Amino acid sequence: MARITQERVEILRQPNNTHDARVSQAVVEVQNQPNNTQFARVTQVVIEVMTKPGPSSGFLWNPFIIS
Amino acid sequence: MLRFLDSFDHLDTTTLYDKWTGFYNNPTDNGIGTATPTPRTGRGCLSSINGGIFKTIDNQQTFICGGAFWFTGLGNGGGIGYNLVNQSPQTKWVMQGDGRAQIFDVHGTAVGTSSIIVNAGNWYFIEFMATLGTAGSATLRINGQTAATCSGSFGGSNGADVINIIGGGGGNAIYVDDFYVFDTNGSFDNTFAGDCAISTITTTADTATIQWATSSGTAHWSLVNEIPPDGDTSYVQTTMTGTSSTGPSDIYNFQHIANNRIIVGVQANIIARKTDLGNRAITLLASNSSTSTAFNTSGQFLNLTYLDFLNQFSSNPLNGSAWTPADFNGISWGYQIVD
Repeated sequence: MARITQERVEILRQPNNTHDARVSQAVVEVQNQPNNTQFARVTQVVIEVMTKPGPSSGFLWNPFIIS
Repeated sequence: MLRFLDSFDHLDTTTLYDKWTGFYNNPTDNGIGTATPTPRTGRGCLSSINGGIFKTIDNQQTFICGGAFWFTGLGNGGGIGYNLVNQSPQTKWVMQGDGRAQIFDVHGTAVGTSSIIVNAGNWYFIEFMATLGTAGSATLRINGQTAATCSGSFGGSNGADVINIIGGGGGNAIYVDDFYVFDTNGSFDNTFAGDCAISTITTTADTATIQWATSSGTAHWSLVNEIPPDGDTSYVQTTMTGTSSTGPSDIYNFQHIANNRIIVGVQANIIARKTDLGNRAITLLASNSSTSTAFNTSGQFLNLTYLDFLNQFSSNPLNGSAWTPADFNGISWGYQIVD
């Protein structure tokens, strides 16, 4: 005698209403440059001078920068 | 050949990294002090703790560097390292707790000890020459006197490209002033310089060549002489373009050096930026009564933020001879647009 102990039916289904499509961000990245010439800017120009006292300069720390 | 100078006189803590490449621990470990201790010469000196600061030069087998050092306490380090990438010293000297500096090899083993003892709280002029390699050699001089010579394994054949001022440990700063770096190339500045001062001179007047625009007023020279630099408060600028033969120039007269000095080396500093994206480039100019030269004809390209664009001269670039005060004082310096 054939005997059935369990019968299962699986149903493939979809919601019967339309669900949301969701977008969190939409951006466009643009690689660009200015179409005008920008400034070159200088805020400081100095000269550093490495010196030693000469034969007749006397004490090392005498002022030696002349404005 | 002169590779780098710092008088520590023309920048402040905020602008220190316009000129120096970086730091090894925390940027706030390092700064420019103007009061404590009294700078050895000029307006300021470096104050440094922990790993200190470094300047990347380029790869050399032999470096010579020196400067004035002040140790607030002994036993907490402070010194100079010649490094390869990644903070790896090929050799270094570090001050020890007994006032003697020691020289270390690439493995961190002490291979030389100074015969000269330094006292805390005093300026000493300390110079270090090291030839790198598996059979390296090093000499340390203090106030012009040889304090240690040694040999050892100072890295391989790769040399070093970074000069590191190693700060003090334990919260005790070291102070550094009048700092120089030479290599052994060329016929000038290729060995110990000896006890030197490094001074900063500033603009005093416009020459007849004034072609940039000003942030205000008509005197160009007075907008680029602030110490420390005042950024976008006062400046000269131009939107004009050109080449080294056509670009607009600004050239200035500078303070003079007393004629009884020996000039060892000269470094020009131009602190500049561009104000928007795209390429802008400048060159340093030097001119005297008979000639004018542009040094960076392919351009020193500007960044959006201010950087210190450097040029070093071991000899007079206009005639190739050793510097004399008369020659130096006869030169006007400036810059020109090349892109």
